[in-house]
Amino acid sequence: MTHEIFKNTVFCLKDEMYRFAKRFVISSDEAEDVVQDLMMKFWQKKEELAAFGNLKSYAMKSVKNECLNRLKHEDVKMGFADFQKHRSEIHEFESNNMKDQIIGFINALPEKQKAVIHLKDVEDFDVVEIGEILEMEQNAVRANLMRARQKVKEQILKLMDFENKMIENL
Amino acid sequence: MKKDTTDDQYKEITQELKKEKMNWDFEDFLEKTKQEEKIIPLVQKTKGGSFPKTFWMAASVILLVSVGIFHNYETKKSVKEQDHLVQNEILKQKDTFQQETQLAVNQIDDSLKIKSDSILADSTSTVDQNETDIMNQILPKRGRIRRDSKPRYAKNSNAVDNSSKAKDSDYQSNYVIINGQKIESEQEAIDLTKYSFRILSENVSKTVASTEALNLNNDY
Repeated sequence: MTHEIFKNTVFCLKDEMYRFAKRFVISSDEAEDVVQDLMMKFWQKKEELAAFGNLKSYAMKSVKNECLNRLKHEDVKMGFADFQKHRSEIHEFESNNMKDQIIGFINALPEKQKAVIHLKDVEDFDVVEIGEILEMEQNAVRANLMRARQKVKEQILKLMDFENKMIENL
Repeated sequence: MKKDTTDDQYKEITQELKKEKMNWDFEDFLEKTKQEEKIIPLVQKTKGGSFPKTFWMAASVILLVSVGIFHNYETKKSVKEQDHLVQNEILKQKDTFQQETQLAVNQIDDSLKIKSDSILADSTSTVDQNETDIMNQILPKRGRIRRDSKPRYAKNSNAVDNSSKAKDSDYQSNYVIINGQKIESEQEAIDLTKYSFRILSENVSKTVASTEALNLNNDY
């Protein structure tokens, strides 16, 4: 595999990988680290990568596994309580406007729902590909997607109601 | 209306999220890969140890083996020595035991001497002779013959030896035992006997006097 082929087939996936990693690890620096590490691994195995059919799915699957591994190590290092506190601090920091609020709602979802909603609504993957990446049944993917969307929309509605009440009070 | 607005907002935000990109060029990535490749040979470890390392390892192994062999040899030697020691100890104990047994025999001899010295002299020979004489007088001739037939006993060498030893040993009257006291000088023995006789005579005279007094009382 030449440099050019690697750039056009694997390296071009870096933005998608970064966004997906950010859904899991929250911190953009951590997400960048994840993508860089994975790219280095892909580079070392570039000859083997040619044999893979769907590189995009493989890359996203690698991101998910790497992020979950890091989160596990993070849990061990910081302890679960500290980790939750850390997450909430980031959430508070980002929740300044409507966009950040909605990102906060998505990030607050359970792992599976968060991954499914991101891959479907942000990255436009189809259900089959999402099932392959997350190693889930298609029905499970649909169910998780439906629940995730419902939760996010409910929270957006509540937020909008709250904002309207605040405006009316003024 | 509300649902439409939320959907719109949601779609807007997802589109914005999709625009988010990682600031990383392919050139930077290639540089990083080159750096990693440069580091890798430094990290790689040479297969097998270097010459001095292997030399010292071999030397230490030889030393350990030699120490092990020496120790093994020493332990074997010590086992032999221990065997010898044990044998010697057994022999010593055997000797001492034999001596002790001899002492015991001597004690037995002493008792035998006293018996032989005694007036009763319960030696079996005299008793047997007397008994045979009486039995000859009482029993008829047939019974006498039967009586004369000697009984056969199993040989008991130890018993025979003891009896022979007892016969062979000479009686030495170096001392006399009076009232459980061992008295060796003749004068002392005479004094003691005189003293005891005096006490006896005194006691006898006292008892005689008392009986006479009693008889006189009875007469009255």
